[in-house]
Amino acid sequence: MTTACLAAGLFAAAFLVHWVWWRIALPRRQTAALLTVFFGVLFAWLAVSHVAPGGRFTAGDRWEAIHVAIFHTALSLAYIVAYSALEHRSPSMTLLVAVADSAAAGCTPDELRGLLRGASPVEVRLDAMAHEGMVVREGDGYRLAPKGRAWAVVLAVWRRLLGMPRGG
Amino acid sequence: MNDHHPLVVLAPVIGLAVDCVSHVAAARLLRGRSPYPALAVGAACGLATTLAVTLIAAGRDATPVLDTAAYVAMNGFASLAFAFGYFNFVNLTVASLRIRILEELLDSGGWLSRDAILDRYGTSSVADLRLERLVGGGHLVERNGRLHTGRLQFLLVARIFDALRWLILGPRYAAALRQSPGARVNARDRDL
Repeated sequence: MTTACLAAGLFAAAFLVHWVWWRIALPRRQTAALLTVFFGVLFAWLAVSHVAPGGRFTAGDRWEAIHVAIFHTALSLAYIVAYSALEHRSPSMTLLVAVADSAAAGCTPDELRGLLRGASPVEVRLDAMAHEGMVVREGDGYRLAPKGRAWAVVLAVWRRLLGMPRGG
Repeated sequence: MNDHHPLVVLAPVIGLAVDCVSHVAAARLLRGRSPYPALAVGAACGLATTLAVTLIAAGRDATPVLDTAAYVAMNGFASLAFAFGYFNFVNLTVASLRIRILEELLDSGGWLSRDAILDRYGTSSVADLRLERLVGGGHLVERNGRLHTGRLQFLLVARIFDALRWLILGPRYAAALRQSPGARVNARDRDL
């Protein structure tokens, strides 16, 4: 029971740090900042547990520390993955909410196409990938950067292993 | 230290390994169909393994009932979280426009012109594809040439995410996101 309380408390503490930071100012690299917060809190707790084991808020032994670390890692990664949906609303959700907000009047297909015309989803993604170092703007096109090449190769191999067609 | 306690601790990791292996096996058996049933099979096998390992190992160590229940809850949440992360990793290969663009670049020798990429994924085709899916799924219904709200499940998810944005990102940023995609990009840049 103590282990579960420690694990829940540690995750809640990391979430609180993240919430306070985000309400003060949004970081430019939000995913990197989330990883720093959630794993920074975990490593700080592990260090304190190593120095002062068996305290009220620290792990009693090595296995308890590992158990809390596994729980914290699983929930942190799941939250960071889900966070990307908070960061950007998908085109489908944009269309659904626009229709719902129009109430009884509804929307024409042209009005809805106009909503997505402001920023092409492809352009938004190209800009984001250039910002993240996946691709490099070169002349009037884009060159695959080593980071983007690694992602493309790993996911293409995984897709072939599963026998799935190309997505997107 | 109880003899089987390390198994209780490592149960979610064992469950994740079982999730991956059973998903790959199911995907190869169900080749050509939707990828999601195979993912569901993998997640179910992973969760079942995690709970079974936890219960059996805790039982062998004669762990008190309350502690066993806490371990089951903790490992169950961890297993579901790992399954969610794995689902999103696999979903990248199925649905991600970014990964599709990266693979197009890889197949083209590492470089493509901006116009060539935009031609392959025109904005109108993206909008039309979404509208077609939403109408086909009953989430939007057409009456007299205008589209209205249909089934509420996706809209409910969108509203929940709006509430979470308001809570986590703050009212100003959440309001900017409610505008069109172009407006929200600019609003975000202004905030940084």
